[in-house]
Amino acid sequence: MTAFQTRKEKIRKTALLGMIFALAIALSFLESFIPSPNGIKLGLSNIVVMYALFFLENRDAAVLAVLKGLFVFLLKGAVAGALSLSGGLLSVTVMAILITVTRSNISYLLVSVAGAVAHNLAQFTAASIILRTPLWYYLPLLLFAGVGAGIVTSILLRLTLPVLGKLGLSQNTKDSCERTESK
Amino acid sequence: MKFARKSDIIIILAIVLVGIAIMLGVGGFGQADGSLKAEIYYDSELVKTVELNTTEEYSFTIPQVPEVEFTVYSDGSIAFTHSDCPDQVCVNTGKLNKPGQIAACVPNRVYVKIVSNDSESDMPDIIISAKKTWRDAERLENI
Repeated sequence: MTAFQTRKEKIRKTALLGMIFALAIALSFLESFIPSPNGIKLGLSNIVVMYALFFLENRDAAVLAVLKGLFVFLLKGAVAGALSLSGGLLSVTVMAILITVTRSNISYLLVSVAGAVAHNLAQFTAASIILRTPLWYYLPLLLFAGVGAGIVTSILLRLTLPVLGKLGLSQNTKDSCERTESK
Repeated sequence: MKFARKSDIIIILAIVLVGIAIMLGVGGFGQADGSLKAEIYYDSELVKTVELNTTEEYSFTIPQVPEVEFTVYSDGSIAFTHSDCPDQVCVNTGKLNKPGQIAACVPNRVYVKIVSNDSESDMPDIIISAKKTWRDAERLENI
């Protein structure tokens, strides 16, 4: 039993996915104006992916990660696209597994940190494979950056949740399914 | 779902500790010691070695990727100073002056590694210097 069953709801969902993808792109663009040492980024678009994971379906979050990778591919080339895609997909996979395994009995903060760290680990691995040398020097920086970025994005998601609630966008479809199933 | 739990701190601290452990293991975060050189790799092959004991600042490029510019500073450090790549991670990595440090430009498949001149006896260096000799021989043949 999933939400968005009727045709009208399907259209609504497609429109919503389009809008949040546009939001993810806008957030990455905004982020490029924030000066950062060592090319470390906050990963603001991860807020959108997390929103999809928490309130839509895992599939939608994965679609967002793939679309974002393709967008980076078009904009910045094959290598940047591959790095973005590997980071995005591992991040979504790790977050989805954590939410499923713990049956949503996990904090936003931990999911966010795990997702950001997984994203950076995937990029470290992809970059090391492309250069055919382990870039160990970057790994600690990437781990610390992942923890920092995860904390910041979870706080931002927490702050936007009340607004999403007012718009009726934070209905947790997963929780409601579980509830109906358990009855 | 809760925003945060007390137990989250333990996991986050664990990640940070792993990061610190890797930092200590990899090196490149401590004090600079001895005479150093920078090895420049293109497509995972050593293409140039520069000594980092110059008194005059100078910039150079490698023929494989002329878009990437390196600068050796008089304080014994080297940095990527220009690249045509979109992310600029290589340039943002900044000056390198400790053994173990790496600055990489993934889109251009170039990286710079700082090594100590004292570690000549290590196995990988022998292989690299053998490769270099072979390359020099090839270059001589071309002349």
